[in-house]
Parts: sequence; structure tokens; C-alpha cells
Amino acid sequence: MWLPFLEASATIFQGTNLLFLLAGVLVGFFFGALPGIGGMITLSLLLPMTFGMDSSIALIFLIAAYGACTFGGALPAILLNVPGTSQNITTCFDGYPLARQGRAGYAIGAAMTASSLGGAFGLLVLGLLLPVARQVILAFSYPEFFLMVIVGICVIALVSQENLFKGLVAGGLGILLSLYGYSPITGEARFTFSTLYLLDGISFMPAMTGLFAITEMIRLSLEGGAIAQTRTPGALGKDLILGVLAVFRHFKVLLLSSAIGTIIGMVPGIGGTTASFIAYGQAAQFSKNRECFGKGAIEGVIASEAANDSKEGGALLPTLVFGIPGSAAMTVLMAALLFHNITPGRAMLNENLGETALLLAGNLYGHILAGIIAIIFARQLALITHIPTQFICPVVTVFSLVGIFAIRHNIWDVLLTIIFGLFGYLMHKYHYPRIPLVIALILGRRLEMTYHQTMLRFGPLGFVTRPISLILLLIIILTLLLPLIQQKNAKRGLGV
Amino acid sequence: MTIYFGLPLILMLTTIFLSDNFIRFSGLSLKGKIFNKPQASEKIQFPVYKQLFIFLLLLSFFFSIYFFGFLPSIPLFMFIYLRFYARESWLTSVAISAATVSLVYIIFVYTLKLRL
Repeated sequence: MWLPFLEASATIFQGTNLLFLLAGVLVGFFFGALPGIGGMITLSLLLPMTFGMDSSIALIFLIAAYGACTFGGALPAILLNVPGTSQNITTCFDGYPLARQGRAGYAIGAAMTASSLGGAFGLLVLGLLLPVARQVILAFSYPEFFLMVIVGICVIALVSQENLFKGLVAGGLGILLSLYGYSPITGEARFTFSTLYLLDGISFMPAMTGLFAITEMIRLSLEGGAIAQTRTPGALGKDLILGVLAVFRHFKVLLLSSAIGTIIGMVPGIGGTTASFIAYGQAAQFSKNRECFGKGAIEGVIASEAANDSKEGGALLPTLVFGIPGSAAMTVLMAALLFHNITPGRAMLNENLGETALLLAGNLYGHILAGIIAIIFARQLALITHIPTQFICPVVTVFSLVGIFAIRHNIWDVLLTIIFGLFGYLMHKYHYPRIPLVIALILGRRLEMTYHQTMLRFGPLGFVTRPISLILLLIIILTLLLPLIQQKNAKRGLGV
Repeated sequence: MTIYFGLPLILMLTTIFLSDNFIRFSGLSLKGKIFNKPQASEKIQFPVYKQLFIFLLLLSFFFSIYFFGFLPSIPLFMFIYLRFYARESWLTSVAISAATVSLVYIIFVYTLKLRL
């Protein structure tokens, strides 16, 4: 694998190819930063442009653009609480509070470094796992995914705003909202109010944009001032370096999140959004200062960004080796491969090994280049947080709503975004955390599916008889008991 | 049928607001971390008319999009917000509204070929 990789690297560093790599990164960056335009739309838009290109240039251009999307998406997530792509939602949770503290540079530095290293980790694991991929994919089955989702919701409910009760209410509400639409087992329409729009369930991009972007814009409009509440002139450059170093200080978080991202990426149909949510939950679970999560914990930013980039290495595996796209964007990539006469499947490891290596190398160098560009411009980008909010709020609201409309061309998505925005504001006002709601809303469908799949395939014992699921079950019990134990210990300490 | 399906939604909305008051007035908040109550300093107080203005502006923005489309609604929304809510000058309000709608047009209509 290493020789073809080195050959592919040499191909990429040839004049024209390098230019296309840079062009792909810049285009991906730009589209990623626009709310609603994710990796799939970017690839679909760029695919027709590659029709006249040489196949190697086309592959480099597409994979670099795709890789840079999540990088671009992290910037508005940190600076404005508006995730550029759905995979960056978890970056908002801690990146934005850091920007509010005037530490946008710190968050950007950490996010970009974590993305680059996470992406490289994913690709490295992909390179190593190609021969033994089957066993790793099969080790994780329905009960494991079901319990991983529950762990995520419980941990986030526990750490958000230090109020387990309100966190669980929000999480429960999210699960309830995720049940809208067709039942995956009986096909029955649920909570649709007899409308066609709700038959497909509540789409999570409008819900999430409403709860975060619109809610934040309403709140900022009412508060006035600027996003950054403290002005720290001249500290940006230093903060940026501190951010880069923070990734190395929390290297365990990076490794764990990257591993989670890669494994989840390998399973077709799950995708990067789930990966970043689960990685965020795990980071919160194992962190020493878990009470800081949701308020500006740098580990949260690192976990989210490392997972959403490392999952690309994972997602490439089923796409290239089995010909099964791991995500919607991978479907478009597969179409691009087929158009350029490269058939995904076993041949990618034999006859087309050169193209496989080119995709891996293009993705890796694209990530590194995107990281460097973002860090160079972070200083200028962080200045956005000092612009008065009366100018930012209406502009961001308009772009968010147009972006939401662009995804499915459905006007009701715009209404849903506004409704969730107003609801999110009320939640904020009454101190209900929004993070458990979003996590439960996004993962709720998977929770329901995997529950039914477990019951059909393994029966109720499936949750306890498999080693990985048993460990996850114990983690859930510990998470729920932890506040009670802590409370008891605190009382004993006070002599009550 | 609609009421039957809507019931859970009404119930959960009622629960979420009742539970807040339940925590506040029941004394459960004394039990520490699990049911802790927000600090007085954390409570958010904004004038009701301001909150209503924003809520109504957003909803009317949607109805304007529904009836007239994005391109006429964007400058209208921007102008009303900037001139009457943020109290910016006429010139600034018009300039920023025009700039935003032009940018939306260039990115989404011209480049991405979207029909707004």
C-alpha cells in the first residue's frame, strides 16, 4: 500500500495537480462554510465540472473539495453558532461559547489541527484495515449502536447545565420528535397532523439550524453588543498557537474520537453526523472537567472535528472495497468514479490500486492544506466576532434560511427552522439545554431502528450477552448514578 | 385523528414549561445538582415588546417568502430589522439590505442555479 501511496503523492505534487488540489480545497472551504451546503451538494455541483478533466485530476479535485467541506463548516459553527454542515453541529456546542469568551482563535486553531490529524488518522487506519476490514465492521452490531446512542444522550444530559432532570426532559423531547413520520417497522404514519410534510419525519437540518443559529440570532438581537463579550486585542495569534497545542495536550481525546469516527464511518448509512455526536458524548464521558462541556471545553471541539474528518477514511472503505457508499456524499463520489471508468469494488485493491492511493493521498494533502489555510486566515476570521450584532443577525438569519431552502427546495423547511428557532429561544430562556434535544432528535431514528433490529436478531439478551454492549450498558448505569453518588459524597464531606 | 396525534406534542410542551415552574416552586431545587435552580444572575430579562417584535418579524418573513419568494422578502426583512429595530440610519439600512440580497443572488441564483 505504501509504494502506491508514495507514487500518488508524487503525482499530486506535480504542477497542475497541485493547483487543482488547492482549487478543490478553496471551493470546498467556501461551500462548507455556507449553511446547508454540505459535502454531498458540493460534490454534486463540482461533478459536472470534472467531465472534461483527466481522471486523476478529477479525483484530486473532488476529494480535496469534499475533505475541505467539514473544515469550512467548522468556521461559522465556531464564530456564529451556525454549523456549515450537519457534521459540525457538535463543534457549535463548545466552539461558540469559546468565541463568546473572545477565544475564537483558540477554538479555530484546535478545530483545524484536530480536523487535519483526525483526517490523517482515518486514512492511516483505512490503509491498515483494508485487509481485515470485514471483522472490524462486524464487531459492531445493532445492540452496540443502540447503547452507544443511549450513552451519548445520558452523558450530554448529565453535563449540560448541570441539571440532569432538565437534560433528560430535553433528551426525551428530542426522541419524541424523532418519532414523527413513518414507523420503520409497521409503516404507520405517526404524529403527522394529517400533513404530507411530516410523513418523512422532522428533518434535522432545519431543526438544528433553528435551535442553534436562529435562537442565537434572536438572543444576540435582544442583547446587542458583539458576539465576543470580551475583547482581547493582539491575543489572537497566541490563542491560535495555544489552540494547536491544546490538541496535543488532549491527544487521548483526539485518538479516541478519530477511532470512533473511523469505525462509524465504515458502517454504511450512518454518516459523519452520528460519528461526531457519539465522539462528543465519549469525550464528555471520559473528561476530567466534564462540567465545562457545552460552555467552552476545548475537548468538545477536538472530539467533534477529529471524528467528522476521520470518518471520511472509514466511509471510503465500504465505498472503495465493497462498492457500497458509506454516506450520501460517497454515492456522488462513486458516480464520479464510475464516470471516469473506475469501478469501485475488489478491483480497487488490485488493478485500480493507483486510483485508491490517489484518493487517499488527495484527501490527506487536502486536509493538511485546508488546515494551513484556515490557520493563516483565522486571525481575520475571528474579527467577525467583534462586529456589532445588529449587522450580523439579519444577514446570518437570511443566509441560514436560504441555505435551509437550498437543501430540499421545500418552503416548509423554512417555517420549521423559524419554529425551532423560537422554541429554542424559549428553552434557553427557561434554562433547558438544547444539546440533548438535538442529539436525541438526530439519533432517535437510529435508536428506534437498532432497538427493533436487536430485538428481532438477538432478542432482549442481545443487550447484555455481547461484551461491547455489556460495557456500554454499565457506562449508562454509572452515568445516571454518578450525580447521586457525587451528591452523597458531598453531603458526607459536609458532615450532613 | 389530528387531535389524537397532536396530544403528545401538546403534552410535552405543557410538561416542559410546567416542569420548570414545578422545580422552581416545589422546593425540589434544594436537592442540589439533579434539580438545581438557575441563579438569579443567569435569569434572562428582555422587554416583552422587543421579544414580540423579533418573533413577529421572523414569522412575517416566512409568510412574505411564501407569497412573494426570497428575493423581494430579503431586502424587506433586512430593512425593517435595521431601520426599525436596530435604529440604523436610512442609508445604512438600504445599503446593507441591497448588499445582502445581491450576495444571495450571486451565490445561490447565479452560481448554484437555485430558484428562490
